[in-house]
Amino acid sequence: MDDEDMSCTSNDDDDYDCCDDDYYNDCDVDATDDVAVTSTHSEEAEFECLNVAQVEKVFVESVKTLMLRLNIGDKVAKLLLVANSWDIEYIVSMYRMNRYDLFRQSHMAAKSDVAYEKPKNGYCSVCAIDGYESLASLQCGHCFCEQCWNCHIESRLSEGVATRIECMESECGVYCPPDFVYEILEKGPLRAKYDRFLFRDLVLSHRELKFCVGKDCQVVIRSNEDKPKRVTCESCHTAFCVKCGVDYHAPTSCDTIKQWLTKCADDSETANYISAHTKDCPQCHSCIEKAGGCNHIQCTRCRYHFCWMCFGDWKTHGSEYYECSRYKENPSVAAEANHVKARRALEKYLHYFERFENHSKSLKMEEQLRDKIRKKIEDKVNEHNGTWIDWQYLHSSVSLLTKCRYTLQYTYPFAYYMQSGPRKQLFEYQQAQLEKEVEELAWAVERADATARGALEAHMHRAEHKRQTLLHDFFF
Amino acid sequence: MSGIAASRLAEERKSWRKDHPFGFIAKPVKNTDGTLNLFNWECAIPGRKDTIWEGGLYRIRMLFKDDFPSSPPKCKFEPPLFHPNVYPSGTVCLSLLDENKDWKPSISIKQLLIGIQDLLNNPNVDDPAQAEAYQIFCQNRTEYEKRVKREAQKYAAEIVQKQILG
Repeated sequence: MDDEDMSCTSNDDDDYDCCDDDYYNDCDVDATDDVAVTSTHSEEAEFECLNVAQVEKVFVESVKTLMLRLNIGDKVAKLLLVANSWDIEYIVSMYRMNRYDLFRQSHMAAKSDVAYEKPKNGYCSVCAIDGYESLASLQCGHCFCEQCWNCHIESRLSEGVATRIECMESECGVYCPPDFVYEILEKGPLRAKYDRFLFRDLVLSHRELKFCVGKDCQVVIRSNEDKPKRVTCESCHTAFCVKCGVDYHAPTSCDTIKQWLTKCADDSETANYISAHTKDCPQCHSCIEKAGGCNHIQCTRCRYHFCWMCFGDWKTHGSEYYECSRYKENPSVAAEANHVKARRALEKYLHYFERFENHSKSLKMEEQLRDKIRKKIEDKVNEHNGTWIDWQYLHSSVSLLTKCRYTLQYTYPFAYYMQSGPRKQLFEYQQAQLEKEVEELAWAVERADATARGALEAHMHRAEHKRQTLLHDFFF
Repeated sequence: MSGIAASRLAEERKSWRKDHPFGFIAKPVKNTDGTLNLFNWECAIPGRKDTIWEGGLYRIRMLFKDDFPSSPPKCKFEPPLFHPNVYPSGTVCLSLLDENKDWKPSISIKQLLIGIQDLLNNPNVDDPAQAEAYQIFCQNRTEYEKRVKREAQKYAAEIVQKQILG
């Protein structure tokens, strides 16, 4: 009876509950952190979210600083910055050492000092027409007509190139600066396209800037973090690795996770499957998988009869016994070895992949658990069985479970690519410890009603402790 | 760009007729009505002196697109050549012929042909295009040289010249 009343109340208060949920969510991050083992390292990168205007401001500030330090114009300063990852100190030191080398390296001046002979009679060597009144050139001095420049820039833009459009002369590496491109391109869609690409290139060239990877999100993240830590966009709430932009992947490194994801995505394992489970017809080489039956195989394509075991012509097999059951020196030992090798590689991959996938699935299921717990807390509060703050530890326990499981999931790609040795043994030991704690925590969280708060918090503490130890030894 | 392509190719032809490197051949093919098709050139590259390629004259076709010279021509040995950087189809793999690498609109047909001649004796092992020549080149240099010399004999300059010039 009471229960029914309660559910009615909560339905009536749907809107109010939604607000509450958000509030709870905001809180549980803090609550979890309280539980966390005090650590000097954070998994969160320090960062700020910028919009386009703020990004422009960042650019302008750097340009101004460099202008003042080297006493150069703003355009030159900007080109130098773009070409050198916006590293002011590096630019200043290189400039003082040998400014011409710096200009050459930055694609702002011709590689050789050999004077370029200006073409006579306004001749453009690209369209091979002479008589042009004016020709246009970059710093290198290679002259071409404006129409050819226009075609060239248009063609490079269609390939997505903006800051790295090279001079049209062979072996000349000078890039077209934005001023030059603006002069050549008339106003129109191309110009807007160039502006877009230019902004993209500027952001990409900057060491501290990253586009948010969230769908249709315009935010640029600024961070000078050098470790693959996590950032969470303030606008779209997407969380990702600050270095490589894929899902946060501690303790695995950016290179390893990239390799792992490619491996999972492409068909390389299909190929392994094929080599482990199928054989080729010895006559027509079509691929055959034996799904059952005896060793007498008839190829459906070329109608050849052969033995699955020794690949010999079936006719040579006696009708009473299988000749190939006897060990002989000559059968295709090499082919067999390859099968075994492929099968082993496949087994190893599947071992890690299944565990990786399993945790990913569990994470999804624990989303439901989170909802259940949220509901449970509501019910308790509505029953006047404590205030919501009394039940926050339940929330924290699910959040912590998610956090630990997430890390655990990403230990598998790490282990897959690890060289065997004492370090791997240590890693696998810690991984097993974390695995055990996570399972126990999951068990306790699911039966939170029957578990005392103290016991649950002890589980939480142990799991987080193992997680921190593992990250501390292999990530930070 | 078609406007530029045609006029530039006409100019290429003019300058080739005025002056071209010794032993090379380059001419646009004739349409059935007798006019020139400037977008399809029949060329031939002689093996450089004092190399294993010497004595041969290797036929190569250059196919230009409408957006030439923004994009490089496709260069194809006909018949396909035994060389690590030539695809089984005969197409040449060379950074100079790659829009995203070293191709520049100002590169002339003459420069391209000389570039390909240079490639003949200096294969690029980082970009193999056919398995056969690449493997033999890496594993057995004597066999490779024997095979190349056989190619040079097969495409002896005097014979090929007659085939092209009629």
